[in-house]
Amino acid sequence: MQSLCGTRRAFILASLTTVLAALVSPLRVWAVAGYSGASAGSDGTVYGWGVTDVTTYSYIHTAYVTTTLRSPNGRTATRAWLSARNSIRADVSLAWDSTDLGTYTTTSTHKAYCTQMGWFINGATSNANCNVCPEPVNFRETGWGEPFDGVLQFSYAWDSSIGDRAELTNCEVGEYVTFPTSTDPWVWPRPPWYEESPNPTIDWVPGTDAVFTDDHLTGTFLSPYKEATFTTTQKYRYRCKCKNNNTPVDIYGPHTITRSVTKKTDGKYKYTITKKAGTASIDPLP
Amino acid sequence: MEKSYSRVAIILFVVFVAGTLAGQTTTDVPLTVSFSAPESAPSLHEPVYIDVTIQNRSAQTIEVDLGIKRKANFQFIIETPGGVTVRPPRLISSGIGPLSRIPVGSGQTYQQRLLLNEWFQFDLPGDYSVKATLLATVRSVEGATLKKEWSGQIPLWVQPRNEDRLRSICQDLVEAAVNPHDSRIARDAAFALSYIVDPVAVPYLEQVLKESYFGKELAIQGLGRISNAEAVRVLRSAMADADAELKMLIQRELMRARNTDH
Repeated sequence: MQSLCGTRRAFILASLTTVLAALVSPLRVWAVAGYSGASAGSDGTVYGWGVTDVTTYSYIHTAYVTTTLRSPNGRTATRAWLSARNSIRADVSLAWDSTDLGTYTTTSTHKAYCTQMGWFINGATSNANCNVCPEPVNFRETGWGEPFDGVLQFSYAWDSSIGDRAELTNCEVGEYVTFPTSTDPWVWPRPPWYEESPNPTIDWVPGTDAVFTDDHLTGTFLSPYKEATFTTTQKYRYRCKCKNNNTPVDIYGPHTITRSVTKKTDGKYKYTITKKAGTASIDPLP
Repeated sequence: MEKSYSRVAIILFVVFVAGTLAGQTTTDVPLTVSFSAPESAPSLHEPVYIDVTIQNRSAQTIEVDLGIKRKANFQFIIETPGGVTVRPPRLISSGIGPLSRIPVGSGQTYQQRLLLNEWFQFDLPGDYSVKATLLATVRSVEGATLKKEWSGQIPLWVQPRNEDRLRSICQDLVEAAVNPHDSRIARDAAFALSYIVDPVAVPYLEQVLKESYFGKELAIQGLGRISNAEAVRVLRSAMADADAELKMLIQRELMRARNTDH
């Protein structure tokens, strides 16, 4: 399966004969159409192609094309001056190389020979680009639980847009958490907590992990307890060196994480944390 | 120098024996857990690693829970050259990390390297004794769980500060940290470099901050840990080219440096 990732650059090369022929008979107008394309296969193979098309109704023409696919690191694959009556396509490819990521360029040179007129129309080129960059896709929550009292643990997974997760060597996946105010560090309500957090909290793991857990701890409690609630905002992101120069891209969220300590009717206190459908608690607080 | 060699030899032997015998299990859990130091005679301020090896001797897969971020279930007790016993807190923190539960197949071995400097900074040369403990919950394929702990004793001889050796280590770590092709290699190297709390590391951290894709944040933290005048200068000058997020991180470390009043 191939996905087109480059932009085809079509052009029409009008020949002198086009103009002349147009003056004589509009039906005999002819031109050279040429374009290039580039795409990446699901296994990471990069494909390039060039097409020259000189099909007309009345003349016999020969189409020529030379196509070169060039990688960011300078690897090339070329097919030179293929020819055929009316139209010709040259296909080239470069194998997947996880150290050679970024923009692949297909460049084609097109020309045509008109047997009737006895001359070539030369020199036109077209090109197409394809940014080959495996990136995390299909980021998803895979479950949540409470491994310890009050600790809310979510699990997430993701896939690679090209090949398997092992190809995500150029990428990281991470979290970005902000607290109710912009104070850094952000001090949790004290009491009932004795805790502070970097604000924002930013962290990354290698993209090749393809899974992670996100543990939301209780924080350290400080007595005498009193009621308090605060909410943090979290989103998940990824960044890839081969895409937008490693600029983070949001991939999931934002969502809120609410921690609260509430007083019960018996005078004891309860800790609760919620995030999406997940919840964990300590009831009562010791 | 001769004394040094014989000392290293003795330490290596002890580490070998400790690595072989330490933490061997009783019959209830057919796992062998051992701890060893790949470099048992590091010089002062260089990264100190502990290798953990878990071997499953049973006929079935066993799941071992290493704790949050695969670190929380490790505990260390360190005896310093001065005879002081230090018990660094376990590393338990909110946030993202690899899955804590490791399935170890029958006859298979799982290995993990820990950077001991995360728990403890070796600030003096001399003989240290490190007791490493894994406090893990293990689970069989049938779902039976059991809490178990394994310990190993690791002798470390921290040699006097060696600037040439530190520079060489920093250089190796920088080369890995600026690796543009593998975020894991780059991140691990930048992480280790960020724990070399020594002025020698400053220009290397600066290089990572400028050239690395995946280690910039860690380099900033490393400079913050050193926070001498040169580290502060590097952080301030990096503000000019930093994006908004990096600027925030730099400001955080500059604030920390100011508060610690180096």
